[in-house]
Amino acid sequence: MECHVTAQAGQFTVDIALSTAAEPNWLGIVGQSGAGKSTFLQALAGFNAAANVTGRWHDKDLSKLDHAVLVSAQTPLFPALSVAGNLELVARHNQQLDNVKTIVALCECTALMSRQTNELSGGELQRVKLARALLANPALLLLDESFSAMDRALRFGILHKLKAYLSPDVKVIMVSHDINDIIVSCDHLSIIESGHCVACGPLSEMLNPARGQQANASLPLISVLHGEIAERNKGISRISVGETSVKVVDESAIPVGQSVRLLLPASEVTLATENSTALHTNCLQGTVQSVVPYSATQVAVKIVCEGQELAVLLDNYDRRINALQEGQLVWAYFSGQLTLA
Amino acid sequence: MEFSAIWLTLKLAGLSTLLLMLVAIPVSWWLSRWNSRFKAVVQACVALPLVLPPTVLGFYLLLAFAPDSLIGELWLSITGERLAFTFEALVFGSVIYSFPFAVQPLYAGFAQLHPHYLHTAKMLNLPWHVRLQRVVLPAVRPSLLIAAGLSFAHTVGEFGVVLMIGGNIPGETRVVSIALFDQVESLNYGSAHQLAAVLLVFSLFLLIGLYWLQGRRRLKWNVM
Repeated sequence: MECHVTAQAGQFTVDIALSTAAEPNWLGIVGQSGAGKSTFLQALAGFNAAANVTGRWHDKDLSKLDHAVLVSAQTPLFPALSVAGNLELVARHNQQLDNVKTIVALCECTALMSRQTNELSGGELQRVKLARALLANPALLLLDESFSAMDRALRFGILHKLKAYLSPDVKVIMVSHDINDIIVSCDHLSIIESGHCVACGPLSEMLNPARGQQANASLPLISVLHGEIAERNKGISRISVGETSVKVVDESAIPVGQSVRLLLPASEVTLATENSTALHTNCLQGTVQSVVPYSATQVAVKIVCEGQELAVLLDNYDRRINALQEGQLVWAYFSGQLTLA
Repeated sequence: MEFSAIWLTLKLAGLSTLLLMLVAIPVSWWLSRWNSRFKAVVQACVALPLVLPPTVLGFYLLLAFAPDSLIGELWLSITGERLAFTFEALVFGSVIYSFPFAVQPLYAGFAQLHPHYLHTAKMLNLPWHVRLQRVVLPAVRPSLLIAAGLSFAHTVGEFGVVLMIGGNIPGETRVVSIALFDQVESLNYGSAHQLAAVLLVFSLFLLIGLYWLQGRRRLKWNVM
């Protein structure tokens, strides 16, 4: 994928060049407020006549894309129409009337259909906007803080359904201030600073850089564990990760048997050099891969558990940590209060 | 009571308002989206009838409608009739005379319509006529009603232009304001009182209606 966008927003110039070796399906974008993320998406959606867009993504020429659909604060609902009116109007002109029911259910809008647009709360408004965008039959879906007013369970629930619903032909770019949104849904990640792309690559490499590479300071150190929901009982799900399993508090509606991602912030994992009887919910056995300084007071320890990489942040003033050897057997402990999607 | 004059006035105001809406909607739309240093010139031309004495406008229109002028000649060749001192001339004159009253509310309404609505509608693949019908016109509906109401009221109250280009031909150009003037000239104060009262009450109620509408103008528009 290659994409180059230049645009002017007032005094601010955006010149963003993205390129990835692989073809991402979902590209996440993070960056500080005012970095140019929204300008970038608006240019791709054709909101900015003066913007210059070139590039290709899979078989799509980004410069002449007429099905790039943006969902953001800049895409208001039409106030003269009800929620149902907004959705049906767009569905009719995109030959999607057959899909209204499915999409309305996907976006949890069923109870909102008879409402007027000015009666909606922030989260409801975002769901209706998302549903309307999906009914426009997007080839490129641009999500700009499109879930910010929804609570976590609802947000991850909709994201999960959305990923299952969209055909692989539909490419998605997602901007969010909450890195968790991006981690649970995206496969590639790009960082934008002051109108330029400073890093772009596969999510796992970006979050968890290989030895010798510096992690981007704007990203938290979070590991993503891939597993499968084995069973759920009273709000606790058992997720099988390779040969072992972990237990997680789970409010999501993801069906049992589906593969999920577990987000494990490195600061919430602790290590032991012997398998103790510490009163933690979860314990994974692994081997030390590397120990690298992370900040003035912390080191990042990478371990490999069940073939997956796990990062752990520990204080560097403990001599035992500096004694960790590559290949050493360790046990990682963490609680069951994790994000699952 | 001069019912033919009242009927003629209503016919003139109704027809002029209809034509004004057809012309003013595209003109105000274009003006609201147009940026150029010549915009002030165009805006001044549109607003000119607001400040010009109606006799000045009427004088130029009279010259333009004369059979030896371009417009008068064209009209003569198409319809076979003279344009000056006819009902049609009054309609032309009224459209020009009331033009700013139609354009200014519409311009304000269109200018307030945020471009995000238009970008969004276009992005969602809605054809232009659907965008106009479902997005643009509903957003400016109060402005449309105010523009139509003001155009109608202003045409009813027209006097100077009618006097210059229409004269006082019963059933053709004798509108209420002219009839009133005529009655006063002939010292028929009873009839004059009746006509004056009709105009006064009508205009008052029309304006009350428009201001009431404007007061309700805080639209449900918090959807960003």
